[in-house]
Amino acid sequence: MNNESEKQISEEKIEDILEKIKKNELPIKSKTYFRLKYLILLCLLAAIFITSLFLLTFIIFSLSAAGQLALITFGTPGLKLFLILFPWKLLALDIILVFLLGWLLRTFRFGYRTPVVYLLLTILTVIIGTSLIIDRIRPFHHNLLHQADLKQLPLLEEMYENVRRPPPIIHGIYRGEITAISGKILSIEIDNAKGFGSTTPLKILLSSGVPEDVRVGNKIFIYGNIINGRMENPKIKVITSLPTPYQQQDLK
Amino acid sequence: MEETLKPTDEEIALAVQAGDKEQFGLLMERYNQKLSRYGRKFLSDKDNIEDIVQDVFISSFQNINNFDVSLKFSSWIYRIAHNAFINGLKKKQRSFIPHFDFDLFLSHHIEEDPAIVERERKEMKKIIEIGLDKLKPKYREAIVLHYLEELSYKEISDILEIPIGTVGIRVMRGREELKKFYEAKNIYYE
Repeated sequence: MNNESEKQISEEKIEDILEKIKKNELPIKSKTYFRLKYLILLCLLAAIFITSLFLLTFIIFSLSAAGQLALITFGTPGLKLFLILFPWKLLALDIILVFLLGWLLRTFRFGYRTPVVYLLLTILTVIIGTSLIIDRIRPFHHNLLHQADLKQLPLLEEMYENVRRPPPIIHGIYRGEITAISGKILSIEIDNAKGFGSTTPLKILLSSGVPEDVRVGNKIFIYGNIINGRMENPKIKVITSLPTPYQQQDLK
Repeated sequence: MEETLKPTDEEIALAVQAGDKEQFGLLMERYNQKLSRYGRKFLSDKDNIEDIVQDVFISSFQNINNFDVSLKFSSWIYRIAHNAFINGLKKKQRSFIPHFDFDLFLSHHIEEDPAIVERERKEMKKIIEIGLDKLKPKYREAIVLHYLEELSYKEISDILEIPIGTVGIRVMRGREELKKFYEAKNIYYE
């Protein structure tokens, strides 16, 4: 024990610290300083949580709004296109935010006492759960998309306008609107690259007849080869979720 | 007959927070030896532990308002010391405790039976001096805090800011590594 005592810091140094304390040379940080620090941390946590929530709900919205989920029904080429079009960058950013949230939560007692995997799973569950609730209760992103249509969303306008973009036509899967049905022939107009209005007319021959759920005005995905403006027996999937752009009369 | 009760660390800290700054001397007296011993096991005798412990006292005094008096003062000051010693290790650039550790990811079932802990403590105290520096720092600090500083897993969890189960795993693995070392060196400790 004596050996231990010899190796602790000397009485002089302790006295030195006490002397500094008496002379007020060691200022104590105020409680307000720590409260403010705590508040900033909470604000940062809230900001990251909201951003993460926003990104995840946007990913869900963009997948359903552009009808991309329907692509999976076209088998391997559809799945491939779905994976190409998936907003991986946004998902990666969201994952980084979830990790950041987990890392910041570990400054709290409940955070560091919880194993990392459980903490991250809890954050994910809360974010996904809240996203789904928000999506059901309030058409949040639909409203923002309409604001983008009205050119009232300066920073996020492009991001929202991209939601309507159809898949690039080089992949053999097209998106368009049915303009007429005549017997076994569907007349459709393929969406332009912006997804805002149609440009290319196309005739489709369905030898087995037009399915009952396909009607004039429907937005559809079609998969097949176009030869001289005609397509024979393509695979068709009706998209029900594509939001209608604000029309000119709405803008007035 | 009048019995004078010593104020607890938390009561002293509360007094310092309330403005009785000189009371901090009592806390320094109480933790001087403990923190120096912890530092020595953590770093090594060659390192400038005295300066680091002095810095720990200064830092804990200046940040005393950040201490929540409903919690244990020992965990709080050991946490500050832990960070200071980690920085000391980093400066040496020989070894460091990585933030990324798979032990933190999942929960581990641990038991902290007081009778077993007491028996192990007696056993480990006799032998801990030899071979401690052979352990990885993450195991070394858990072993030192648990067996030498006699802190519970819960307190160590607050000091190292890791799950309680991870503390248990590190203590267990550290003990096993030490035992392997003794067996390899033909050192008998029972």
